[in-house]
Amino acid sequence: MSRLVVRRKAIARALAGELAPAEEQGLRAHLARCARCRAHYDRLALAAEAIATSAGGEARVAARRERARLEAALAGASGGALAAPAPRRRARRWLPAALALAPAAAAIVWIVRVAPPPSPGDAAPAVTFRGGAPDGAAPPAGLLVYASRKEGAAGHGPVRLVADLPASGEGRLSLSDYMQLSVRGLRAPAFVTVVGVDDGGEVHVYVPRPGAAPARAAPRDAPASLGPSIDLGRGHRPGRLRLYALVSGEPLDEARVRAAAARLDRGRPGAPPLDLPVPQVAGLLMIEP
Amino acid sequence: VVAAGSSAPAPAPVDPGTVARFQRGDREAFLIVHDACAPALRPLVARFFPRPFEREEALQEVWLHAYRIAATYDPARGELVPWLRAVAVNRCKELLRARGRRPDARASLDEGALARLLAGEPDPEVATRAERLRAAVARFSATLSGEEAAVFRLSLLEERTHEEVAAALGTSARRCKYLRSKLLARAAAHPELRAALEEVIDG
Repeated sequence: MSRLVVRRKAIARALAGELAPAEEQGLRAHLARCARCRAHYDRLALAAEAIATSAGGEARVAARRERARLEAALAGASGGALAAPAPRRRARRWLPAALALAPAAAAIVWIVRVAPPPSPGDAAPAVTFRGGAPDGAAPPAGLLVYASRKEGAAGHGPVRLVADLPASGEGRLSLSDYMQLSVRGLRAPAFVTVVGVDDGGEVHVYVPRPGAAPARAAPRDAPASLGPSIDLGRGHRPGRLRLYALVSGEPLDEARVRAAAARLDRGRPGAPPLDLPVPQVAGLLMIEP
Repeated sequence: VVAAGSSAPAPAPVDPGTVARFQRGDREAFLIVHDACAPALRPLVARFFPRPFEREEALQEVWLHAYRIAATYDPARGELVPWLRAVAVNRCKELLRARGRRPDARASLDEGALARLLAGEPDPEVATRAERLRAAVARFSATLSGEEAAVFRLSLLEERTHEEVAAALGTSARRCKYLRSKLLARAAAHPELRAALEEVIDG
């Protein structure tokens, strides 16, 4: 049976509400990048909804699928950014942009904003930190991404901090960099698996190194290196790289991690959580040429 | 129509205790709110994303965003459904911007229609399209043979499971599954129905 036929059957099963959440997620990952299958899906889904609603009711199967996906997303994000919603605070849409521009702007002007005095019973924090975990749902660890520019045969330039995940949310480096990963703030001894997924769907497992035995990282506040530097000039391409640190009590099976990374819905913005039931730290790296 | 055309059905009421738990981030309460209010949001999101795959993705984004910012909802300032509608419209516009696309002309230019949707009022134009679609579905179903018509009604119209359809018709679930799949493909290719569906997508 050809792959096309298999996918068409999967689409028919999905529309009948017969796919398991993981299967559906895999199908959707494919639909996000395959215009032909997506057009087929759209045609059949529209027809199914039109028929189901022609008697005046709702498309119940589509509604059930929507809820199942929502439940899966909430469950898959346990320990991640969706572990709990943000505590009550006023929306400050300008803050991420202001934080990004702060280093340049600081040389010119200090922007001071006085927080309103807290009202009794309202202990909301005055600032929303982008990417940071909400109160009561501290991230399982911090993933630090360092970079240093390649110089000469084996040399490198000064090391700079590129991202402090999840707090910074994203970072920027280039194909001319070596990348170094560290973890800090683990609350208990744990295995840390670090995986990256680029825009083309290519999956890079950075930690543990291929062929190396997984090592349990100790809880400590200071950053602990997760292995040797990674040469981004090899096997990487310019564009976005979604980076995940998975924290688990037992070593994760690499094939399972790769499969979850391959199922990632890259049509969604940012770094949506991987479909794995372990605490995760995620962020977005922009790799420049 | 489908979500893209119909006016928003009236949302089921959500009791204040559930709303309070929703604000605190309780997942069970969030899902209760979803079940009650999702029918009101689907047509709204469909105005921005008429194609099913994109619409489904956008709906996920809208609800996950609503979950993240649930604590910002203040019952003293208004009802929950209008708040959710505003969240949905803003999130849809953000998603379109993030994808480098302009908001759909119908959503950005026809502010009257959008305002009606935000208020949960029916859109006469959309209602007319939905009526044409219903007529097209009826004419398609009139072309079916006896067994096909029965499977069409039970499986596609009433959305029963293959096992339920098989039990009702005294046949195998496998045959029902096969017929459902064939009928859906035929419906999608039926000229009149197809034209009505394209009208939904193109607005």
